[in-house]
Amino acid sequence: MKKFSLNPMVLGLCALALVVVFSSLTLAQESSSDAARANCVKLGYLYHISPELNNGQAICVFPDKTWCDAQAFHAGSCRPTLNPNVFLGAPGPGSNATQLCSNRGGSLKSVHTPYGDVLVCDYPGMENPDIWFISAYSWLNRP
Amino acid sequence: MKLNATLLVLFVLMAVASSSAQEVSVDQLKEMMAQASDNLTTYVYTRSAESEILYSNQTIQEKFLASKETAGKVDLPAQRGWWNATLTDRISGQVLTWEGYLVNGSEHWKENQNWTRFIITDIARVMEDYNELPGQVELAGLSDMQIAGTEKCGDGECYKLVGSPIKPLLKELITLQLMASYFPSPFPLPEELQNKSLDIYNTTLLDHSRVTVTAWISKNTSLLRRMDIQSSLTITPQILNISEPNFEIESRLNESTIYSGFGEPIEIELPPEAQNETYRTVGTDWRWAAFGSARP
Repeated sequence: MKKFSLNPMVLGLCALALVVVFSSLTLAQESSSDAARANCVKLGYLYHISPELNNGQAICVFPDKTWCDAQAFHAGSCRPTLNPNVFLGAPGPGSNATQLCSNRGGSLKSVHTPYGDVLVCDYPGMENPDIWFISAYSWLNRP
Repeated sequence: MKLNATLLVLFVLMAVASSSAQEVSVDQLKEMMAQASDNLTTYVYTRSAESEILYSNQTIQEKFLASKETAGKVDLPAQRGWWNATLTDRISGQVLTWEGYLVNGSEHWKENQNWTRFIITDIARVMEDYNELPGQVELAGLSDMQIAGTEKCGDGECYKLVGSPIKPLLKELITLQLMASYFPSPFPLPEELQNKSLDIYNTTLLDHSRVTVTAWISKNTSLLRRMDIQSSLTITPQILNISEPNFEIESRLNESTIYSGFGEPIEIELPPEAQNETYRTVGTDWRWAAFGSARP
């Protein structure tokens, strides 16, 4: 049986390669984590790490106290709800308000209230203008 | 005969005065105001708001009282805007400040002493937030208004319109006030509000609420010069038609906004210290939520 021997020089190169690979991975991870943090806080949300939440992984906390995994938020696979969605019976988050309103032959208007602006779909030309509300986009949507 | 002629002259004069008071209709005024707001360039505004909420049950008697003063500048051609809001907790005396700038395609907020720069992907959308006068015009347009006369406003005369939002808008406004009333509340948010299953039309909330909108429209320019909103409601388990231990919440919010400086040059410059932007480390103080919107 042929004895397999390792050349010390090859062994050294392999070890160096492993160090480089691991270092790169760590750096990439840190860089990715920095980007996720920057993305979260630059949008005005809170970057938070807690052992009790998300298996200790960083989260991005939104004003209504809901949160996404920070990486997932950065990647766009998790998003805050548009609003607390206080409008009972209103279409859910992600609805294309303009399109929905347009499909019904109306025009979308932003209406001031003392509690923030609300989006209204107005149907001109009808005897009794029918309106329905999409969402209140100012409602603590951003802190 | 002489007396008859005098009476005739008086009658004609009264008829002229009467027709002068009715020279425009409410719909015409709304239309003229909407057209004027489509041609805005620059303007400034100041807004005062006060929120008072009383909470009571057999053991609790609490009061939330806060005021919010806001000033703003809007420059539509330059796509620039600014607002500054100060909230005073009138019970504790604590003062919170918040300032926002939209300049050179970036938005910057100063909360107390901390600056945050926001990434903007749609500047037109953000500019709409700063250009908030058209939203007030829409509110007047979607309200049943009556002409209550004319009054002096700024350096000219204004038509004064008084009314209330149409029912669907009233419902949404009252829903917002209902939710906002629970931010400072010692009582927990009812399950029906948490899970959004409450249908306002199955309650008597609208019968226990009142919203009055008053608008002052310039006779010369048809621009909205002032807008007041007074909103109040009472909440009890019976009114909400829910099963909860007895309690009562009385909420009042009064807001008054004055617009001026239309078409005049304005300066909106980001202070140098805004470059020292930091990450936000704390969330928004809940008391801002008692006024609903995070923005002025």
